[in-house]
Amino acid sequence: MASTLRLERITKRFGDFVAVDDVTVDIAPGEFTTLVGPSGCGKTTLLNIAAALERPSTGSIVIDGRDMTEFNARERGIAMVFQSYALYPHLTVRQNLGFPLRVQKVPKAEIARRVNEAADLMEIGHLLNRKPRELSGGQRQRVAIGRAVIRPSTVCLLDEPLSNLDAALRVRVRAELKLLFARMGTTTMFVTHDQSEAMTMSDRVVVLKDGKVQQQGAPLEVYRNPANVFVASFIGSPQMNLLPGQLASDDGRPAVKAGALDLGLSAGLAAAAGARSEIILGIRAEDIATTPFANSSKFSARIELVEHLGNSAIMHYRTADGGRILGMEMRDSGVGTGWSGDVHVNLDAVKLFDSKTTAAL
Amino acid sequence: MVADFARDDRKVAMLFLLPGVGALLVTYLVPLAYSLGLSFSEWDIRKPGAQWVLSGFGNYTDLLTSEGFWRAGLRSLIFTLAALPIELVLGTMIALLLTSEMVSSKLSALTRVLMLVPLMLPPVVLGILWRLLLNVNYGPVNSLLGLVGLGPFTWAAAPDTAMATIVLVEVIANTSVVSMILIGGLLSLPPEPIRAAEVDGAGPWRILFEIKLPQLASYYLIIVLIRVMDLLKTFDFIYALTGGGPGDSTSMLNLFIYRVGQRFLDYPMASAASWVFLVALLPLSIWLLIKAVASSKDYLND
Amino acid sequence: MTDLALMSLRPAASRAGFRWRSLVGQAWRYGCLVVLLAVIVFPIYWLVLNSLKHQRDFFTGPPIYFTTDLTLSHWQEALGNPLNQKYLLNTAIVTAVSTVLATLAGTLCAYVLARIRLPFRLNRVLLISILIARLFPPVSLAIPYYLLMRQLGLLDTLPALVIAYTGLALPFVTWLMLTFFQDLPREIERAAMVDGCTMFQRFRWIVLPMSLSSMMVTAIFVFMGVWNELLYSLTLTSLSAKTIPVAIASFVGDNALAWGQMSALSIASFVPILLMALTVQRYLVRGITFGAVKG
Ligand SMILES: Nc1ncnc2c1ncn2[C@@H]1O[C@H](COP(=O)(O)OP(=O)(O)OP(=O)(O)O)[C@@H](O)[C@H]1O
Ligand SMILES: [Mg+2]
Repeated sequence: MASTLRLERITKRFGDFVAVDDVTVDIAPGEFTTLVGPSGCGKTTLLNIAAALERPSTGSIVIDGRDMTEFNARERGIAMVFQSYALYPHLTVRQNLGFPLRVQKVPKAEIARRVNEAADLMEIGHLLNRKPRELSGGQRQRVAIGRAVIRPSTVCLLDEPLSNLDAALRVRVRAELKLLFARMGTTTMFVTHDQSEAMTMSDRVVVLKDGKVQQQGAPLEVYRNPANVFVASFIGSPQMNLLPGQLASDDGRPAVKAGALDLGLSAGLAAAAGARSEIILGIRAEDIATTPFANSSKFSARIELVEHLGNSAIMHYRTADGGRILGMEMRDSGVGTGWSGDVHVNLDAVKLFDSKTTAAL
Repeated sequence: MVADFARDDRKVAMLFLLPGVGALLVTYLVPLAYSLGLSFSEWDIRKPGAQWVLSGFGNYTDLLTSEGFWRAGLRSLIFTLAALPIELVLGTMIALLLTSEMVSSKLSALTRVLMLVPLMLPPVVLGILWRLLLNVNYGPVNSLLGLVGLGPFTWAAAPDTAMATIVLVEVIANTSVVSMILIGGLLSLPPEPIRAAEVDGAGPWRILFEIKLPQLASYYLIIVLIRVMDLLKTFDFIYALTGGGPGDSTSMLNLFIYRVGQRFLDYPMASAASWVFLVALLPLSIWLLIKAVASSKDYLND
Repeated sequence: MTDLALMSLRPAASRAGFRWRSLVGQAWRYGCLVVLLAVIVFPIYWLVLNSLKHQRDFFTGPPIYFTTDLTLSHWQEALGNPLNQKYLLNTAIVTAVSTVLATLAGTLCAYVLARIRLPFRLNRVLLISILIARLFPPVSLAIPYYLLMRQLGLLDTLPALVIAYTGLALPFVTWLMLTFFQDLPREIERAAMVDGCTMFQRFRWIVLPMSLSSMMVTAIFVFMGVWNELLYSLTLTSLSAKTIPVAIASFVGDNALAWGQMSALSIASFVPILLMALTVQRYLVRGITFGAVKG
């Protein structure tokens, strides 16, 4: 059955530089977990540590409850898809797929059978006799994944396997990949710097920055309740509106002022904000619209620019005091560039962050 | 760094290193130790069955007070210092010529291939060949120069022209090294700065000296280091061309050591001379090492 | 009005000046090229001509630059001579064996140095030793080799030369292969690690097939160097293990007037080297600069 993987308090130093800083990640059997973060945040390093390609400075790797820190990749039973695919250039696709089995001295007939199986799964049956250099980027990626899934593995690691594909292919493949791994039920750790991949593919996301875990949880949970300003700005497109503001009270009712916005706060948020005066206000674009919400507050602004996405549009609002705010409209809302009037904020979706620690309140 | 990890890898690594390191020990360390011992010894080879006995610094003091050794060292130095600048200047000119847009590219490609010929000529053959070409009475060079009223020159046949002759042959044979490296360098220069300078109205000389050549500084460094080491080691073609003569006019340190050892069978003295030669090369070697190792940090794995 | 006239004149004038200057520049460049080609080609022509001239045509007042009265007798004598045949065979055997040995041992060393972090800073120690060995003047080893081989009873045997040449070539192979391995993407080997390969399996199944052509190039360089080597052969052999460079060099003393045979034998020893040089032409600069310039 599928395995568990636990990276326990992993730290990796290169000289004085700390690439991975006290990271703990727990992956349940069959779970598809995504490591996401900006370039250079230590994703590949963490993956290499999990695959025994790199030794952690401190911390341990536990697979199925067993400490595997001192074991090599083979003994850990890990499969991996590399960012550059790392296909063996001198071997044909057939030999590339069969290579992990050949190393394990699987009988020839069995290798042939499983190669065909994997080729069918990845739909690369017609490419079996080609060399990697005769393949397109998408085909190479399929071979690389095929090579990883051909043998039973405890955990499958994928390092940005989609980043070398063109945009259209990437969107298609990410759905296929998700289906494939759901069907196989392998425990998977997937690395990407693209938050939309993280959102769409994973059962759970781990957001990394500067080697530290910022937040982990189900994608929607992370989206709805980002743990800090970094996660709020990194996850979600368009970016969440983040406005510095002050806490105030309107006739005794708690409120927050940020530029042209003056929003009443729910009792819960007001309690969380406590005695602070400075605050960072976070509102997702879809919670700002020209039509009122159930519990909304409004400010006046002008539409400066409209980015049409087809099914919806991103509105760039400019307030009287010069502030910019992003909102979102469905496609038939009928407002356009130059429109000005009242804009509504969904008070139920307002987030507050501490202005110093940037943590969510 | 990759396999810092797998436990069995280090054992295999040692196994992989074994043949090479073993061979290096056998072919360098053992003879060097032997020769070091020998250089501090006396060995009367005229007595049959005599063994060498340690005797202190005698060979070194003899050597360092012998005129022949210093003259040989001086000749090595003269040979190197004469050939190197000529090769650098000529090599640069040839490289510029063969990358010039004004020369048909087919012709320069052909010339580049032909340039391999003197370079690849076995050094012994080179010596023999120039023996024939520079023969004072029957060689074509003197006869051709005679047509324009020059010569006849004595070339390698007289002590006072032999050194210049050796330098000439060395230059003809090995300037290709300099040009080939520089051609690679010139072709890899980014065109933008040159175009920009042209647009700014810089003349060809200014572009050459202020834009092209400065960018080739690292190539020149490598060339100088490699050429100096090779020039100091030159043996084969001189042996075939002059054998160190006439007299000892082209007997450089290499040939001096060879003669002391193989002609006069004074092995301890030859060993001492080898060591002095080695120690003299040391500063240069260390410089080269620092350059090479600094540029290869990736290999160091630590 | 005058301004207009000037404007239309000036480019024309400078274009004419430009054309004249570039013509001179071109003529001067082609002049240099002709001299260069002459210096390269004439000696080789002379060598070939000498190997085909009749003996009587060598020692004439102005030398004979061109003749159709040629003979193959020098070639027949040079190559028909059983001694020369033996020397050629010796050279081929010694060169082939030491090239293979040095290439294999050096490649293994280079792979470890490129990829494995050894204890005790051995990487650095070995790398520097190898470089020092490479910079060694061979003459400083010639005397101890001679004496040691004499003690071992190996003087004038092929194994003595093989030992000396393998040692001579080893640092070169190691360093050059190191620069090749550096260019090999590490990720492929990492993939092999994940696929369960031990270091030996990685080397055997992945690295070796991928670096065969680099090894060939390196081996060809070694071959050319060893084939031409004179000093060790001169020191370590006397009769039966002589190699072809020694045989050619010994014309000078023993048979100084046999110019035809000298030339024929020289060409015979040069041709294999030239052919090899042409096959690795692309890598020549890399070989010459010891990998410092990738070329
Ligand atoms: N061998 C090394 N030596 C020193 N620093 C390293 C080494 N490997 C990685 N680093 C550093 O560690 C940090 C994390 O690198 P890593 O490759 O894990 O980033 P990443 O998150 O995968 O980035 P990307 O999205 O660009 O692939 C980087 O700043 C990098 O410079
Ligand atoms: Mg990465």
